[in-house]
Amino acid sequence: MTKNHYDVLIVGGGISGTALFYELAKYTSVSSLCMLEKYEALATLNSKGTSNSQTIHIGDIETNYTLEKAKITKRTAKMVEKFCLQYGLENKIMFKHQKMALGVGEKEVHFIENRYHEFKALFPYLELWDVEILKEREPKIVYRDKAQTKVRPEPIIAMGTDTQYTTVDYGAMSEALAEQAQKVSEIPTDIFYNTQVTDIFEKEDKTFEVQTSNGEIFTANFVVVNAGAHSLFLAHRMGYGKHMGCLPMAGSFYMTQNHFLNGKVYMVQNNKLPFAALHGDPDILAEGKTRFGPTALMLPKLERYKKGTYLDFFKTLNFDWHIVKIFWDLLKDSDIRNYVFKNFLFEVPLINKGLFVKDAQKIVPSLDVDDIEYAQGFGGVRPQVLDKEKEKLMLGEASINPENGIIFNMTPSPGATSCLGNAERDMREIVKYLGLKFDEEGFLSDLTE
Amino acid sequence: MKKLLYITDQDEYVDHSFIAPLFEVYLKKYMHVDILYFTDFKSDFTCKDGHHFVVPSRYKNVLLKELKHNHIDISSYDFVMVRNNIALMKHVLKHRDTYGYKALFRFSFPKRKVHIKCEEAEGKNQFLKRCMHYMKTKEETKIINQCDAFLPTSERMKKAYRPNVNIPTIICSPAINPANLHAHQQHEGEEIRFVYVGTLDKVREFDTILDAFSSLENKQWKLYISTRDVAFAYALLEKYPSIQEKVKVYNAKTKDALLALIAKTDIGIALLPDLPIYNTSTPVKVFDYYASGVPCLMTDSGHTNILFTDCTDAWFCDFTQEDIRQKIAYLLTLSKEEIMQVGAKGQARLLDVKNYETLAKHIADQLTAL
Repeated sequence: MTKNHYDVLIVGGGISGTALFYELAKYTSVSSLCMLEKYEALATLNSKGTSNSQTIHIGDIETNYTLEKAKITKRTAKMVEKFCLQYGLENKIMFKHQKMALGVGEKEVHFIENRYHEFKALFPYLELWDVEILKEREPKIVYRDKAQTKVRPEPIIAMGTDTQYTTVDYGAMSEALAEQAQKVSEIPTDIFYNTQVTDIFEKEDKTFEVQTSNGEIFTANFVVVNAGAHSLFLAHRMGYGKHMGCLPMAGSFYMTQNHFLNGKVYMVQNNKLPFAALHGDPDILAEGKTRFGPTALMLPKLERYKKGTYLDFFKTLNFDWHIVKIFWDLLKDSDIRNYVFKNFLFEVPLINKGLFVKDAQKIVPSLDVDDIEYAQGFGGVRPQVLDKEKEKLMLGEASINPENGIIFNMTPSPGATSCLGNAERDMREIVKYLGLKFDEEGFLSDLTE
Repeated sequence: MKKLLYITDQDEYVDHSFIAPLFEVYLKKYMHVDILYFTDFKSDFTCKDGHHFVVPSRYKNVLLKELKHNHIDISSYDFVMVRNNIALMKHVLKHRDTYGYKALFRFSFPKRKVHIKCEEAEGKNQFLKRCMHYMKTKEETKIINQCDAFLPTSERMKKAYRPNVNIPTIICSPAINPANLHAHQQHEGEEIRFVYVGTLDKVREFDTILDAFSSLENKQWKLYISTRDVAFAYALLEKYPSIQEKVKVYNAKTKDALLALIAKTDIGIALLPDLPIYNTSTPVKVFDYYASGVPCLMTDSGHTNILFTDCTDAWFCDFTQEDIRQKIAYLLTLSKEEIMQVGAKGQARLLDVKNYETLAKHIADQLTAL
């Protein structure tokens, strides 16, 4: 074996990659571990605090989640919380805020009330807040004028809490995961920066050869690719996941200059485009400011605010008649068509603020264009997966596991929240495949309730 | 046992006034019933307790494919029934031969016609919409005629709105739930309490009823209104300052809350203009009133007077201010005991001729015979 041979090699140093790096290092008998990161530091893309809404998606206020899905996300979200508590990261990178899902208008109010009763058993801390309570907790969402004298005309109600950890800087958490992995482990746990993986080959001896843009070659017994939209790009190059395409949805944010909201306010989501639901969040990286967003713009590149990746987009889209059919089905729906067009206009200077404010006024009716600024440099890309066999847009995460020692993960929202849960799934697969030991008791005790 | 998939256009949290007793309870004595709802909010398919499916509305156009992806064996169904939605019915018909089920169309209410009526009442010109309605009705009738059975709310509704449907017809009307009947509970107030439950809009001309109440000499009454259209109700009441204090507006969110409200009252109101959208079937509110033993003052339509007899188990009047006023004035002369007896007789009458238990057997027999 070469000096660059590892038991397990992880491609991508974002929150998903570092979570697996940590779990393998701490809880398994893996003999050597390495992570290859394309850029100069960990979590420079979608895991970065400015690229996402920093939310722990536990499933209580995410109105598009079913009860079944919420049971799963609750477990994985609690793993994030337990990790941070274990290393004393509360109030450093993890915070408690008030949070709520807000229903506006008769139909949404009816939905929130019923959803509250359905989800109360799973999330006993949830409370139902009517207008009078909201006047105290989050007055700006109640009044339609800045002087707070006139209550908005439509009925509103919210389900929420102020007792839970809600917010994490996932960029900082990625660094903490990697740091702890290297601290707790006596085996080689190497991280290579500025190392872009260009190709992966399966060798005759069932190991993998990983080629990089700087000419260095790595080999590994097991490879996990956690490289955002590039996971599918690399899978396609190996002939896997051809039934999938990737639709990169870029999200932008708008920022207020002053304190606007006391906590997170999520809207009732449209099931057709749940990843595009607008919300307002106090920003933990820009103290005193409130962030509204994200928007949802289809962008023909895989990485936001980085050069290139246009060609990679076209390759990863895997364009054919199935993709045409998916787009056709999506765009023939007037709600989606209008949404796509509107979100395109949200990026056009001069008119974008005015249009965005109209949408954000559903949260804060008195918001006007002078209150917000386009948050330059904020926002990331969500690699939404297109399933060509089912001819539909998949909402959420996707994984390709050909069961031969390699796994490719695409982890759009709630991927950051699920990082330790997804890592657990992959770790168990690796343990089984390589015949490693797994400290299950320690793992469950440290990270689960 | 035969197996039925009931696809409803209602959302998953609908307060199941009709579904609950008929499809969830009584029809299940004769066949396996699965119920499918759509959600505008949740992103993923959900199967609750093996018999309730909740499907994101974005999959309406590919519903059966989505069910198949979620391991629902569509070929196990003998019947697939669609409520009101013609596009869905078309989709179900398209796959009928593949899966071998019988396709059924349930027509609960002429919603489009009601919408046009509402807009007309607001003074909007509806000529184009009427033309469209005519064309669409023709097209929809063609689709319904490809089904194996048609299930309207009443024979009169079929005649009025789908006269050219020529497939077997099974009447699926609202009824009273024999397992959920209550004797009327007397309140301690001196006054007679009236209750109106349901939608309020311009077509329903509720101002005619308020005109009648405000012209009464006897002031020993109160009126409770439970409606989703609370703002409309308050706006309407502003025109009647002299009776505002006597009228209370509620928005009972659940069936239980609604029945609790009705139970505190003496007489239900089901007075509606003499329009086919209202007089071709008995309003559900009538059954809600009688379930609590509360008798009903209703419009004398060709439909209601088949079920009830004036002054015996209900009271009838025409939908005019004067006729309503006279009838209410008469009702205010009755003792609470007399009112209660009318309610009890009405409840017994409905139990005899319109209850979900017998209706379910009738529907199951008819479906089996298809």
